[in-house]
Amino acid sequence: MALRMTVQTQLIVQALLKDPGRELYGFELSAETGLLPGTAYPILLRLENERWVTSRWEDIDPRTEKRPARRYYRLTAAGAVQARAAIAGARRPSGSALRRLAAEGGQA
Amino acid sequence: MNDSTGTTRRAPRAAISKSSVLAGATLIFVWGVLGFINGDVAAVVIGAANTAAGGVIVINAVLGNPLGRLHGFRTGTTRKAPRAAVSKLAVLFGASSVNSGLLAALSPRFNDGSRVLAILGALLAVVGVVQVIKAVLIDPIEGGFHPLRSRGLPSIVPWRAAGRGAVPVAGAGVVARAGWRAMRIAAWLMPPAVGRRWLAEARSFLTETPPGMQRRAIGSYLAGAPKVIAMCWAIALARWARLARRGPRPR
Repeated sequence: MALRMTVQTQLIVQALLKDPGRELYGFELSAETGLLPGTAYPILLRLENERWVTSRWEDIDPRTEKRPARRYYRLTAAGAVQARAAIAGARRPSGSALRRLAAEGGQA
Repeated sequence: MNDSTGTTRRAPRAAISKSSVLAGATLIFVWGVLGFINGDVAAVVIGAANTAAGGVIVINAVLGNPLGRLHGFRTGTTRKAPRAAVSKLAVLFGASSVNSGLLAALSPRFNDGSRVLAILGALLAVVGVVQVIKAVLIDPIEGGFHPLRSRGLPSIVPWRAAGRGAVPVAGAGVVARAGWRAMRIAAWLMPPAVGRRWLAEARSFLTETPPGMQRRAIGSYLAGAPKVIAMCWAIALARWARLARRGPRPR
């Protein structure tokens, strides 16, 4: 499955590329990119299937923390290289596209 | 039988359900062939439709069940996935048998023998409907598909456990509750491991989302669900095809 670098995919990849070693969970990613979770999730699945991204469940006791475990996502070493190349090669999202996305996503 | 986590799976039961489905598929296939010989068009159509669904189960039985072992989709609770996948396939099989029952009632082409088989097929569909109700009402994250049974209690009325999967939405209203139910249906349409993970991530997300945004987030999950369903089945089928080319795994 070839990875299409849509505007939304670029936003997620860029958020992960800010600090490739850092793990981000769904809510953080959503807040950073302005994308709603239903948009972000298929993209993360695709990135994971292409092995650009790896994910893991947070190791906590939900009863102690009083919240469910989070799923953390991180770029793989190879994924970071490929992501940088893909971002460099991709068309930059226009200002209007970003504004439209922000309007759609709101403060997720 | 040991799975990848080293835990013991209850293989015999899954094997029994696979064998019974295989036997059913064979029966209907033979029925279709006999229908072809006798010029019974309805029997041929039903035989072909059901055999296609049965074929999926045959592949599943021969190759093991790759649907619950998708790369990167592990939720940490994959132990129950194979059985869930088997029952899901049984549901597909049953659902495609609905036409058997309907045609049995309507078509003058059926002889008495065909009618009995058609009604048996329709009974499979009833099993399918029960599975769907269970999938909708029982939370697959907190309770698994058989939450009471996993605690050693008989699961005679599975929907009694419906309250276990509380909606992860603050002050959940009717819309949020309906949305969460719809999400469970969507999750049920995915391969088991992916469905559980999708719901678990949604639960985690919704717990951290401010109350004002939760309905919008649920709407977004629901809007994105068809894409996830299509994508994860495409990945599962690609993996399936890869395994089929490689042949059965050595035991």
